[in-house]
Amino acid sequence: MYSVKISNLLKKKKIKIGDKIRIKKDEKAYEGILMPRVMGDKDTIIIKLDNGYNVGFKPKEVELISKAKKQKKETKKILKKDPKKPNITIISMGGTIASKIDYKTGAVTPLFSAEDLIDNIPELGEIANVDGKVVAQKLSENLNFQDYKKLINEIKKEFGKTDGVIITHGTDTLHYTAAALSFAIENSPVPIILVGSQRSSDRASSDGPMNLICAAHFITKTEFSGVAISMHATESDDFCFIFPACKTRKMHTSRRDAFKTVNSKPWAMVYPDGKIKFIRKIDKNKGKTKIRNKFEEKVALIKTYPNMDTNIINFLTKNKYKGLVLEGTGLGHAPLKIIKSLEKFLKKGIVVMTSQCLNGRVNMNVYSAGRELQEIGVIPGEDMLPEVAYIKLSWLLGNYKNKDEIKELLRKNLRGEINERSGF
Amino acid sequence: MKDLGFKAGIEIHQRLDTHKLFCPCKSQMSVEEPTKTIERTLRPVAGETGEIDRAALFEALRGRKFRYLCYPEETCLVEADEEPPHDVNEKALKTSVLIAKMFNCDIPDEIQFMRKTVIDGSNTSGFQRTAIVGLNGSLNTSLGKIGIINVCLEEEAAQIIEKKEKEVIYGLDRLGIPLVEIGTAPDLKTPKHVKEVAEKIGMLLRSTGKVQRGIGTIRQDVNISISGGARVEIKGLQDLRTMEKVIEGEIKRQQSLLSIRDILRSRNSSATGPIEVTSIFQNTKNKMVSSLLKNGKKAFAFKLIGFSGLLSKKICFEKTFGKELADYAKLYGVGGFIHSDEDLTRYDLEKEFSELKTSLKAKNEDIVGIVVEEPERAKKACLSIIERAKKAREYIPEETRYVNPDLTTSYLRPLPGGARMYPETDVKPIAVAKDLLNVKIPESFEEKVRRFKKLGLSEELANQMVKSRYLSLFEETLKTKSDPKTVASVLLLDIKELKRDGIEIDNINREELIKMLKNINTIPKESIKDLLRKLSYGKTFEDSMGSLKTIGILELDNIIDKLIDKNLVKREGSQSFKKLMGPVMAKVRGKIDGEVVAKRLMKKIKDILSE
Repeated sequence: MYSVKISNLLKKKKIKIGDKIRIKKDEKAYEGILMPRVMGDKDTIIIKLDNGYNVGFKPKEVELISKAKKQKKETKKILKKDPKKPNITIISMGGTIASKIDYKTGAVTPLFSAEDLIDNIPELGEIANVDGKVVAQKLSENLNFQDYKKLINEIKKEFGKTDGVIITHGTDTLHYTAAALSFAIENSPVPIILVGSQRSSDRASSDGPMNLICAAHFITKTEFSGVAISMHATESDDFCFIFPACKTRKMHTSRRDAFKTVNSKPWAMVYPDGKIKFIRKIDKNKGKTKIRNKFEEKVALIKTYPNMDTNIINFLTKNKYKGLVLEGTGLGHAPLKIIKSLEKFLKKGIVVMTSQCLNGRVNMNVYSAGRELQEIGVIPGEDMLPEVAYIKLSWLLGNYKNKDEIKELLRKNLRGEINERSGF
Repeated sequence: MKDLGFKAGIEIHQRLDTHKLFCPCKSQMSVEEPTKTIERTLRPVAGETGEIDRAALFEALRGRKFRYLCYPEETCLVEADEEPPHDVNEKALKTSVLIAKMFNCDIPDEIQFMRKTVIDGSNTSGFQRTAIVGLNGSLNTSLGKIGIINVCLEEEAAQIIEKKEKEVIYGLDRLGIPLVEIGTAPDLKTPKHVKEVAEKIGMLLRSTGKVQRGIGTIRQDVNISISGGARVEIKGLQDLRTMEKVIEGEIKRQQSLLSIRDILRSRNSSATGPIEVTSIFQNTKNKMVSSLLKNGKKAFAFKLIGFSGLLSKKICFEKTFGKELADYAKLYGVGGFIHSDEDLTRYDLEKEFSELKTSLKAKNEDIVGIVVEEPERAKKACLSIIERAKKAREYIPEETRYVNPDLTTSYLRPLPGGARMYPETDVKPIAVAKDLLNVKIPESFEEKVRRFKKLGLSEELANQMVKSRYLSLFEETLKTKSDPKTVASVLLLDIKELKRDGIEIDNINREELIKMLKNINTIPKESIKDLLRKLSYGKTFEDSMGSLKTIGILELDNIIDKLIDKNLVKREGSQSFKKLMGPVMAKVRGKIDGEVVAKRLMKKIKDILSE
């Protein structure tokens, strides 16, 4: 957005974004196409020169040279379904796997339709018949439980029609959504694979298409049904890991292989040419599919740290929070000074302890701090990831009434979020 | 050149002497072994429809791998496309704006980095980051003012280490080194003018003292066309000495192709194929062909109708039209082709080719040729020859070409279409603040030459000095009392001479050399080379001086006192100097400067005469 001053200047000359203009300044003139202002100084007009470069000028005067040409509507190819091929539904939650660049304006537009997806990733069409749907177009940090609900309902509609669902998702909170789907959809009849990309889809080096292709291979070539994640295994474009939904976490801000399993192993290695190597045995879901899509809003996830202020816990008590997941230190410890406020919270609420070590299991019997926390009613979260414990507690509080039952279920493995044995 | 309609523009790429453009990695070619290898693929990116044949591009990239070698000090996650770019290198930005101002460019109020789509693998991201820092500039030349279209600041691409059929290996040490690109308008008038402008721009860049020097740090791409010909871009001219010849060769090539075109039109030429003809060559005596066929390769033939006599025609220096056609086939990994315009007795293939001619129904003015390779590659190679041969009667294709060691050029790829650019959103647009514009334009080399001449350097020495790698060292000693002329002759003449004698001049420690130059007035001229030699053995300046056993003025006076014949002086007056200088010099040669000896001796003579 340009400043009011510039906007008025443009309005006066009836100039709109995309028009060819002449900027006059210091007795010199520069010609180019008016670009939108996304970031940077709002008093500077950005034009695209004939050679494709953008430059900015603070104009004295602006003139219209010619109006933007109206873009012709593309005629869309209609995809024919091949009855011999499996069907895959691709649902977008905001992560974009494919996008189109308009080099005239510099605009990057995400693509969602099945036709666009196939046009950009032809391998997909070779693997399956593809259908595209959009549920949310958000940066993943902005997703909320309402979005989860919408997504779950959309997936439910696909059951019986599809052989698998791929969800494209921003990577930041992808593992929260993966956990939410795992709890909400019990015994999914089809595989539900979340896919993200660490490099944007406008570039030739994007990791997204390969993550998607590997997900499609995994869906069509294995017995797996349930929720999982497909992302790069290494910094090379060699193969993807299929990650367990409740035992995986984004562990790097930017690398392609940011996702890692914690206290677990990936299901399989999938190569973009379709070759699959299994790492763990895959069990087919045989139980009845049961969907419960409620999540309690009044649940918090808090990290403990030296010199922590007790008021942080008091705030939750006062605001009638029902659940709290603590990301404690070491084996599951918290500073002594917050014990009193935790005790107050526990009169009505439930507290689960996890560890900021992430790797390993909490054990609250070894040191007195742990023992005291247990005595006041804090539940050890076993080897659960803090984010998974947060989603699990929200889901239990949303769908179960009995507090004792919730406490019991918290310590029980429901969807692969807890290992009884601690492996190497 | 005017009659030819010769037009040329030049693009100069100069590496800047600072760390990488978007990360703190070192801007140098690594001498270490790579510590890591990353394997990637690239995919075509969807742009406007119709601009490129996306399906073809997809096929071209499919199964093509890029292997990137990472080096300890020159590669981090940014080069590996595993981390977004850091803030732009301030020093590089300032230098680029300074350079833009030196070329009288307008500096925009805001600089925006763009992503220029590049999918040959030379950029891990699939694009090159580039920004215009100045535009609408100019440069004065001997043939008038020429336009400077723009000055860009951009990332250097990764360097190809090995190219295989389905894999290209790149080194990531070079990727991301800051480059300044200067593009002139097509205002250059002759090959000599192109060279002059390239030289002039190079000198201006070096005068900043902020650019890298040495092989590969500056590259010239030249755009040339003549009337009736085509615009051709010649990449990577690194050597200015051969530039004129390369350009002249290109003019020659286009002229030859135009005359071939006319012949082909008159003969109503065309081209057909490929057809598999392995059976004809099954029992050939030609060892190369028979061994290829034994290894499962196949022979494919094509017919060039009306091409007889033309393939052996030289089009540029020693390069024939046949070799030119072979350049296109080589893109498919074939060594070349054999054709009926060659001396087939040399290959022992006369019989087979006459059979081939009959089977292809070739007439006398036709040429038949074969490629022996794996069927897919052989077919593609034949098709590329046929396609190029068909074009030959129509027009000269617009192309990007590279320079061969014999200064001819070869086809590299089609000319890039309009730049496919969109904003680099990971780098904030840069508002050009006053302090960025407030740069002092460095003294030009012409100004430097004038200043050095005033200090007593000859025209030749002054000109040599501004181009010398010792320029900054020379400037440093100008701050001391050392005689500029002597310092210049040490740096430019003595050192050169020693180098010719095989002395390892590069072993001389810079600090020690500076010490020597600061004390140059006290060093006897005769000892300078000896001293330099000692420094090159790794000795310090003090040690080298000590071993020279120089003498001071006092000691010299004592020696003069002992040797001087007062009677002779009184008898012959100042004429006695000539007779006395010899014996004194015999005693002190190499220990003290001759000029000093002469002065002291003259003084002594005068003293005696005035007694």
